[in-house]
Amino acid sequence: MVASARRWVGLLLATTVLLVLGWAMTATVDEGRQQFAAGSPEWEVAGTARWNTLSLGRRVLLPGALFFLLPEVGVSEVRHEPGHCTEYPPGSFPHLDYVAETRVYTFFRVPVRTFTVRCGGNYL
Amino acid sequence: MTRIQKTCAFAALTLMVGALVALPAAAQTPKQYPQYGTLNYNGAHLVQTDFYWRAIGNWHTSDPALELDMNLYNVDYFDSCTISSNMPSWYDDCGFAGVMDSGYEGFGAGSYKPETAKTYQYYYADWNFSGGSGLSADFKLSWQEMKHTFCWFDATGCMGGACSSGCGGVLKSGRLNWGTSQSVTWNY
Repeated sequence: MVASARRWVGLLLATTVLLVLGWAMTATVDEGRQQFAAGSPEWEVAGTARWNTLSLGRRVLLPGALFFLLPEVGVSEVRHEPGHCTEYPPGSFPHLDYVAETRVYTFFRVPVRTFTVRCGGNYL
Repeated sequence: MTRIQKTCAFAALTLMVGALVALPAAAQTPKQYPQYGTLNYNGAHLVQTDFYWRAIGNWHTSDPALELDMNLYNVDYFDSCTISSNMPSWYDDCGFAGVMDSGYEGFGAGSYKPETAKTYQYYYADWNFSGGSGLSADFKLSWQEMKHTFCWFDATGCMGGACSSGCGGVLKSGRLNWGTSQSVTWNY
């Protein structure tokens, strides 16, 4: 009985350590904003795209309560594509001509899905 | 009038007529999200939205759902909320707000039958918040087409995003300031 309990406790501890380690590794993912000059359109779009992928993109993969399995989003690219955005009229949001590529990560920095976020990072 | 002037005048006239014809056509393009709406904040715990569709459609599934989320980028500003709405088969998704979200909280109001909404009819979704502290919070009011991902029946835990492209976006962004009421509109 005692040996069985010890085995379960050990298993629980090992799982916890593994999850914490996996999460910690994912926490080191570069958010991707630092590659751009602070205040530049690319920098602003990267921030917007990242937040919108966190709130909208992750739902494509998992429902709300399981978001913790997808803890991080990184921006891999921001590019200028004039005229691509047909969803919003000009001036609705800043930098509508920019497109961002974002990537959702799960534990151990494993990439799960890449999203193309259009219209200045406002439309997935 | 020279020939060049006549050609330019004709081209300008053609462009103007074309724009007049094209604009209403673009405005009638069916969308999953309400193309027009207002968001009113009373400076305290109440956010009210009123909105309508000019044309509704473009769903990616045969049984879509729609969720409108108030995403707040100050997780201390409000603690929880309840929803009231007249959207078809509306639901309250405040229960999932802040569940393992980092740096923001998403408070959701949804509809299990958005495809049955009528065009040019005003619908509302109101967020009655409670708790919290802080002077201001950046917000994004976003929409997302959802579908029954994990189970077939209507329950908020069953719903996931319907697709990875063309299924979500921001309707309005701005900042809520405690003690200051505001009204903003979107028109797409």
